[in-house]
Amino acid sequence: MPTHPAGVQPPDSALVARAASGDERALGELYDRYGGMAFSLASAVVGERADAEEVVADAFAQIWRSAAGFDPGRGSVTAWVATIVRTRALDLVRSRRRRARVLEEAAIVTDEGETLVLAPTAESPDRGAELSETAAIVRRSLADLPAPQRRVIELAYFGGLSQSEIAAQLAEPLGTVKTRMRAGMERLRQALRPVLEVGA
Amino acid sequence: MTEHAWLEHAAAYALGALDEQDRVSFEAHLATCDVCTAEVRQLREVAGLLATAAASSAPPPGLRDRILAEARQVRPIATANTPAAGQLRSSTPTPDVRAGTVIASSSRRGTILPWFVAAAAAVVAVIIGLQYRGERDARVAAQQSLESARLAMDSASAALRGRDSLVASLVSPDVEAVSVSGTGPQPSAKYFFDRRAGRIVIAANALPPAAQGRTYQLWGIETGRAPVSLGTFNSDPSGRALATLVVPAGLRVAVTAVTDEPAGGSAQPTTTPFLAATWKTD
Repeated sequence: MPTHPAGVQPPDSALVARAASGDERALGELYDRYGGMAFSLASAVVGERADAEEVVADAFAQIWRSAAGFDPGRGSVTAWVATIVRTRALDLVRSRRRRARVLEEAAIVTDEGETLVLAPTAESPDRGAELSETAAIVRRSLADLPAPQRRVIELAYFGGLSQSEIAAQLAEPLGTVKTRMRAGMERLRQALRPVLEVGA
Repeated sequence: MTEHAWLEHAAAYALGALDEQDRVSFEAHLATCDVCTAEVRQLREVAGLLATAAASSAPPPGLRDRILAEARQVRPIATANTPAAGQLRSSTPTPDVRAGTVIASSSRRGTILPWFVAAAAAVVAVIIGLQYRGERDARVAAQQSLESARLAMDSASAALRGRDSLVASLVSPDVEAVSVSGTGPQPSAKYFFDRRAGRIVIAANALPPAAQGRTYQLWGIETGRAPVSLGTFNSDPSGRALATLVVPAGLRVAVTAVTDEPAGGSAQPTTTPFLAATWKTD
């Protein structure tokens, strides 16, 4: 893979374009780059490895088929892949009515207010160095959030819960949940500015 | 922020956490607001980064090969006009065009309308429609329709995989798909025709279940011949139907359509056909 100067179009969108033209090796390279993230995300949402494997296989089938519709101007490859994987993972969870169990797991909070869905910052055997560096920054930024803000964001993103479902789950007023979610995402945006690929 | 109250919804929307009612109204607003669209785009990037914070879990070693093997069975959809699933659509509304759209049996002459006239009317409607839109638009419409059908099947296949290979076969490049719909709250349907397997799948919406002692029957018609029954089906109380029906070998189907028949089906249609779709015959 050629090196790219910082700030220049990342190679990812070029890979997607090659995949769109039917180049299977490009799909393989996309998998090498995003498969780990996809599998980790799917595992966090569905809970079981076998289910996560189905989710990732389906997600990459969709990535392959719809690659031509990817528009780099509308967002990054990371966000695109993550959205597809998350949507499929949540579909699977919902279709199997496993939601209650996932909820339970998402709600387990350690003494530090850390939820168990997320990895301790120490352990990160990701492949691509760049991605694991990003992951470290994201985890640190999440850890820096006030715990109540982090909870609502995690319940929404990994648990697939709506604002009113989160309010019910936490026995908090809906308005409080909305405020925390907005404030938490705003803080994250500020903290993640250095790693945001688009429009940062 | 205060002058633009809608922005309050952007973070929750990017996280997929807006409640249904809020989501619907915010999406309607997004279609016309560049400020909120830009905000959502960036917050989606933030949400996307959350994925990288999930506990690292190494995928099984065989998964890569499996994905590539499956990719060899399907070609990517060649279109640059449709935003990929998972991407925020541009604020320009896409026209709601459907391939082969045919008005379901309208208020013409009720049951007096002979089958052939209905079929001919369907063909004419398609031809007029195609000429009106121009060939290029029709091709785009066909691709969009096909892609949306495939995406719809994608989410279904996640649930059905392993239990039923039917859905997987629907996304094969050899399968032709046609959407038919009426205007307003009338039933609509998508047909998936796998000529090689001699199989046609109908997926209908807003189709009230057939009355007690009645059923829906799908017909295939070869130009200049009497309709041939492809089988019976019914919809569920929510108005949805998904049925796989067999197309007899050698039948050169030019039109498919549905009629309401007595339970068990009829030898020939006894009511006005609707959800008519036309097919190429080579």
